Amino acid sequence: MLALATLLVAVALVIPPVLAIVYSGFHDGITLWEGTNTLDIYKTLLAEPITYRAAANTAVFATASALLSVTLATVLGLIIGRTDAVMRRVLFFAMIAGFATPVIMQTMGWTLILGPSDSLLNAAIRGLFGPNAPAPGGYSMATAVFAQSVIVVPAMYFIVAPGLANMDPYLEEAASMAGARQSRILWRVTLPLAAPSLLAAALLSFVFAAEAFEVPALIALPGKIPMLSTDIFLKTQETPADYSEAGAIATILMVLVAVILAFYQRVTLNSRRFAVVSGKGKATIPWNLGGWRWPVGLIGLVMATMVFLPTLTLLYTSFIRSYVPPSPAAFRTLTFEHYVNAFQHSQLLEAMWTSFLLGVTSGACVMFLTVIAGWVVVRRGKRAGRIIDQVASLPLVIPAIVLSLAVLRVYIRFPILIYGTVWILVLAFVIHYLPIGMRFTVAGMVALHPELEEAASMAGASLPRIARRVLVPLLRISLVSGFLWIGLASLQQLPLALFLGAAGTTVVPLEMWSLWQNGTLGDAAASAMVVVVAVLALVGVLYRVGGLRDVRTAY
Amino acid sequence: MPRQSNARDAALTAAGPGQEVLLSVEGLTKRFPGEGRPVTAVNDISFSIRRGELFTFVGPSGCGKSTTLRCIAGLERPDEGRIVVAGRTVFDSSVGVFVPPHDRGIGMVFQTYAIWPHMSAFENVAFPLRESRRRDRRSRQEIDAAVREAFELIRMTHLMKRRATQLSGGEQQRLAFARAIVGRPNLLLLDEPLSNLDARLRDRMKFEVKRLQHQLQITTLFVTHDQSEALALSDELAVFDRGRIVQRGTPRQVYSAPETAFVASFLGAANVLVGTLLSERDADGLATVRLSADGGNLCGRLVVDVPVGSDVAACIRAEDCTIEHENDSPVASDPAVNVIPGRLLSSAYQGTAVDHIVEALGGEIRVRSTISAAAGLNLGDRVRVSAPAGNCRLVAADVPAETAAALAGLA
Repeated sequence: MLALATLLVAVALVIPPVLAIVYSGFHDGITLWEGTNTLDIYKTLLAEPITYRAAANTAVFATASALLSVTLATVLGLIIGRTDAVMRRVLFFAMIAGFATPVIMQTMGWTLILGPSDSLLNAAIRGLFGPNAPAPGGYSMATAVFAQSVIVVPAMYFIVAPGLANMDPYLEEAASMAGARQSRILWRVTLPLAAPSLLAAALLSFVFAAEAFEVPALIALPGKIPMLSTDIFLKTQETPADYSEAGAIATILMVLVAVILAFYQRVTLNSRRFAVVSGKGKATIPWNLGGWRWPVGLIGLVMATMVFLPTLTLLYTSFIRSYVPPSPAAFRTLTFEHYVNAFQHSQLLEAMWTSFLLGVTSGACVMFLTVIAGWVVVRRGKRAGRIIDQVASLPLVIPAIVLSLAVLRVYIRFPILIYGTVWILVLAFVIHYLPIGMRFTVAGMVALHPELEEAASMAGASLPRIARRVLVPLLRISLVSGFLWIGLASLQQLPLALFLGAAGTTVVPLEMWSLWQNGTLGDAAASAMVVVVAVLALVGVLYRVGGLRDVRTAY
Repeated sequence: MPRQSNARDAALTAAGPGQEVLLSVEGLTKRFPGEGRPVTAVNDISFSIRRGELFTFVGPSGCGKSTTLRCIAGLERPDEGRIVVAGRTVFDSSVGVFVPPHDRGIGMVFQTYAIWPHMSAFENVAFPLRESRRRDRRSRQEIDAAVREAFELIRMTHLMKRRATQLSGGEQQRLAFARAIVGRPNLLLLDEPLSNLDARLRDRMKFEVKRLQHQLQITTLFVTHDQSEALALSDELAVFDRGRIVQRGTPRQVYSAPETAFVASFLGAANVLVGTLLSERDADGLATVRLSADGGNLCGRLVVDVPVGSDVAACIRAEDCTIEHENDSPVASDPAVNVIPGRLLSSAYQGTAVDHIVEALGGEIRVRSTISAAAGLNLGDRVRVSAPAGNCRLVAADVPAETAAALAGLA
């Protein structure tokens, strides 16, 4: 009964949006319920060269940033996890902070650093080589790739670091006894053993980039570099909005992501056979860098600084009357007016309130649903459990921007009007974060010996009582972590909210996006700084309850 | 009302002390979905336990003893059969009765103890009282008193306020016991409760379990794979093999008179030798068997009724044999003693005795001797092993020779 009810809820949440998106591509009409079914949409789309350019650009962008980000993350993982280099702790906290900073903010920062004309990079080059020096900054593919890579480095770090740090030390000691020097061990033993997890991380990074909206919208779009995710957005901004073509492009993107994730699943299944992480509890011995402790630590610090640079740039921008590259003259125009504006003239406060409501509601809904679904999956196993697990994992293949569009398409004409309320956002967030909630509850449940529940049953407790008195208290770290994690997303997730915010129900990332689009740079930067403080506070709590250890399991 | 009390009186008079059946299991069968076709874990088991008895299921892992226990607890749903606890049918496949575990009023100690880490020691023990059904829920004072009494019983009152996670393995084990008995259940189930303890502690807890069970007079069903635990604790035991009970009786009965090669080897007969029965039982109850391994003859006590020519197994305990050097003067030939020539392969000093492995009878046999008897023996020596026919039991050959040997090696 419980299994069936859970399955029904999961299906009702997840399946309609997927169907809606696929159907949109074969349906010509302003809503799903009016208009005609046709193949013409794909015919037109596939006849346009821009479609292929967008797909090719997305592939190049995703491949390049996957390679760069995983390389950087591996180097950082080795420095932090395996060496005795200086300032490793600082580096680690830089990763946490970088991970928490909303992508839209980081992207805004990068446009100021690497963008055209008066960007930091161009100003620095001019300062060094004179006013006629070439200006390398600009809205180019290289800029987009670099920004995207640095933005995902912290996430990639959390994925590859455990594999590098928890490697069975005996494997390396054996190589050492066989006469290999440290550098040889690194190339011949450590990295080959970590290869499957590095490949898995690269595939995930590819997916993140292919799905990304912020960098393509803020850097590639002004540089006239079309990509699939921005194409979806642009189609909906035409008048009248072309939801059919948007749906068709979204389907293509979804298929691309599904294919890569299928690879990812195979790689991670295989990598378990490598048994890199053994439960021996013997820590790896850090490499003794000797005289290199300081230089290597500095390399790490430079990388960490890159993670912080966009935030620092926004901090600077938020205090300058109107943006100019840093100079003594610029610092004479220090002002608080952007902060005053952010609170008085924008909808920042309202957006923060909506984000708060959204975060609390969707976090609570997801954890409530997934603690039940997780229990059915882990304890009841069987067929129903497997199906629930698969349905609840399905949102992983739906890019956030696609899901946003899909939820809009399905629920714009829902019998109960939820468009224009916070509930449509809650719905999208619940669907999107279902798989992540499952990871938290399933991981927590697997760690609980079934006899803990059976003992309660023998002591006379019925199932609801066991849930209340044994299960939920024992899972509280997983539940609180998952809840905070999803709550955090309400401050970070732009693409998921993109089509669903309306007047009065705008959320923080949407508000920043609109300030940015209106060209009020200083106000956008000031509101971004307010959000950073809020996010870091939340992450601090998350760190204290131990939820950051589960970061890796969230993917 | 009078009718009810009459029934109760009748039950009391019918069942004198130690005679009343507390648990009865009939035709219990449990299958698990396996690869392809279902695996029968428990195969048509029937037995009953009297009130106040300590009954043990013993057998190797995977023999179905734990599954049977979990079926009685209600944690597994059997496919067929009937389970009656204290006169109440808790499971009956023919009429579709299945009482959920939390309504069975049975206490259980789990292999992992399953102490809830988020509660104090006190709260762990109080839990069953707080969960008991509304009408017999107790007041706070009653709960406090009952919990305290349980802690006194396990001699842990000083640890009552501790967090459960601060207790040692042995303390957690006793806490689990207190939690299982605090609600005064009709039946107590112990699922390998000693297997996670280290050897010394396990030995102590064996006596502790016996003491508690005796003190409380609580009907107890104990599951273990350790034959020494089973022999030490039980009033009565049942040996399980492949989902069936192969022999039941008091520890002494089963140990001294195993009916099958499996039971003999599982309960510590070191030597199980397969062969063919050559003769009828003689006046002393002895018969001769030809061993398959080397064609030699062995004389033993035939305890099964099988015709000449059947497969039987000869079971000899290591401690029933004696060993001497070949050059020692031979004792007078006695038909009631098997004299087996062999070669000493290895000896291991055991403190109070010495264990030997002797190459003989087309294989290896194990012999336990006193330290003085082992004095003049060197590895490789020709030796003579004597095994009295009266201590050599000829039983049904229910297991292949290799399995028997492997089991004997484990024991």
